[in-house]
Amino acid sequence: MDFNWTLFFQFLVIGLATGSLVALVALGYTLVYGIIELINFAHGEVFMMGAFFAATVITLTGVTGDDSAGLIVAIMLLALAGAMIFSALLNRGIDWVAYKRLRNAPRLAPLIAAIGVSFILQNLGIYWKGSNPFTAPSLIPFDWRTYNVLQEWPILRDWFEGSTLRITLMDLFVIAVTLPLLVGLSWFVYRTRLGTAMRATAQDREAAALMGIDINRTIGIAFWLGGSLAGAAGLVALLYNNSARFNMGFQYGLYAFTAAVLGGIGNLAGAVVGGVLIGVIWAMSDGFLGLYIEGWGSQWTNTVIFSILVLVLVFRPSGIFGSPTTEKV
Amino acid sequence: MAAQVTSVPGQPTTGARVEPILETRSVSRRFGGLVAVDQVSIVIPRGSISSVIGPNGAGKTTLFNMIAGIYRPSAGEIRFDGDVLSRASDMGRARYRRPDQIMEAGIARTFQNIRLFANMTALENVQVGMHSRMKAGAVGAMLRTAAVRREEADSRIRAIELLDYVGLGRHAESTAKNMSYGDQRRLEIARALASEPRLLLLDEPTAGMNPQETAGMTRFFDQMRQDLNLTVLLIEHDMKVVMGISDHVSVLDHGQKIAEGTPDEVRANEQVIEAYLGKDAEQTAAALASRQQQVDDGATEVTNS
Repeated sequence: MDFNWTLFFQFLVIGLATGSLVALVALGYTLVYGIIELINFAHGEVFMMGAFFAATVITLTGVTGDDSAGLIVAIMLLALAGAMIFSALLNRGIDWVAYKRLRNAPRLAPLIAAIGVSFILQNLGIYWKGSNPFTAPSLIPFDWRTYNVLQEWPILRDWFEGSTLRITLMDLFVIAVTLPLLVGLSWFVYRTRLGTAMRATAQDREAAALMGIDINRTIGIAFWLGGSLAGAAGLVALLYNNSARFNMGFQYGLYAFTAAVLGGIGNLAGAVVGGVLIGVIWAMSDGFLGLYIEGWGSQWTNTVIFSILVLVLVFRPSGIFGSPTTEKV
Repeated sequence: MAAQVTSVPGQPTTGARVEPILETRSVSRRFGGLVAVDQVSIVIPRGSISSVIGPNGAGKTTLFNMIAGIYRPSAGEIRFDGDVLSRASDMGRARYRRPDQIMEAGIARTFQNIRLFANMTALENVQVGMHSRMKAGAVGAMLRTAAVRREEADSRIRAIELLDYVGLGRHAESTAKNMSYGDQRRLEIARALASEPRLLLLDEPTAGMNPQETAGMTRFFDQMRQDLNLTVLLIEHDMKVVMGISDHVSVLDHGQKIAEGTPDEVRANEQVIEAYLGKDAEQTAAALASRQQQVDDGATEVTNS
């Protein structure tokens, strides 16, 4: 059988969109790990709660796909802001309730606390929206989902004439939300006073404290940032997948964790690259490999992703971008 | 017992006693059964260069860490500029401050084993030092208010000035881990100065330097004190380093203060000599004197060149 380039690119597009979501969630893992060396296993649930909150906000406004395009976009922005603020508050609250007291405890203690918080949030999710997947509020008009920019936009139309490859408005929407957030985050971390304080705290907490940095406040900022990115990812996942479920944070969360480890945990650029890679592998395994391998399908995706996790941990624990971490004296 | 201080340089001999900038009152620190610092009282006169010396393991760094707020004193009280910095419950109501609050109060330090932010540039390291003197919060930073932009621009200019001052102007954009050992030491000092301290704690600042470099560095401390209106407190285990520049020396051994006074008084103190080199007192005194001569010679050479 010939190699099907069209489908390959189709799944690549899906993978890039999904991968940007994974990257947003992975950044939350890596930000928190970078600063307090805690793997915040509740992070996937913060993402899920962001999606749930966004769904509730959209439903409450009562705006549907039948309303004007301007109103729909306004409600999307409102839901985005709402989900980001809600998830940031939630993440910071989790830190305050569950981790802050354990700062000087053995590392296992906050890790187990994180797993506990994760279970609590999943059960809250069941209580909130039930245990079955629910369809996202019908905010996005059907023709936006089917609108294929490769066939509709002037120049692209000529280039892709006769091709069945599709890039829809929804794919663009994911990128349109993700890219500014990534740029904004790196600007914050590398160009502002608080970002510099965060990097200093990540490198040497004690020295940073002695340089006048309030450590607890700085750790709090990492939780604010990670939470707001997870909230944004929650809204985008809700609208992109058109559904949500209480355990969506489990899958996304573990994939994002794998992405963070793959890129080099604690490394921001690594989380983004790892996220996109995992997204592409995810999409290929779900859809593309089945064309060539008898019986391959999405049931194998977990196996593939976690095999990658194991291989990275065994052969290159510092990840793609990892440099040896600064030794502590 | 300890040699009594008759006069302290930097303090007027007549009239009212000037409030010392730093004072520890019977400060102790226990780690389990080990008493690392035992009832140490020292007084650091304002505007002086003072030193705490002692053999390795004498409790110097523990004392420093208590002043800087990393350890809480098990007993006693530390006062800075007339205020209680930290106080254990035996001296009244216990009171402790976090390291960042102590930095904000005006005490900055360097480390025995250099602890720069290795993956940041020299400029960024200095800007971290300015953190407590800047105000911009998260909201202001996102909105890019005029005040925030001005503050950031000012901080950059001041950081470059400080790097120039310690002789690292050309290295502003170098990553700290790629700088030479001596430059890293200077960068640590620039970072400490960035917080506009009134008291600068230097933990073995000349460790690993040869006599010429040491002489140059100690003259730089004296320069700094004058230019920046600073009080400097040095920790050293190497006695000869501090003798030339200190106004006032305290000696620790096994956690206790065994002597204090001017360098000459301390040098002549038998307990000090014993603590350092055992009981061959005469030999030791001679050795110390000749080493001191070497350091002085080093200083002269540098000055002449």
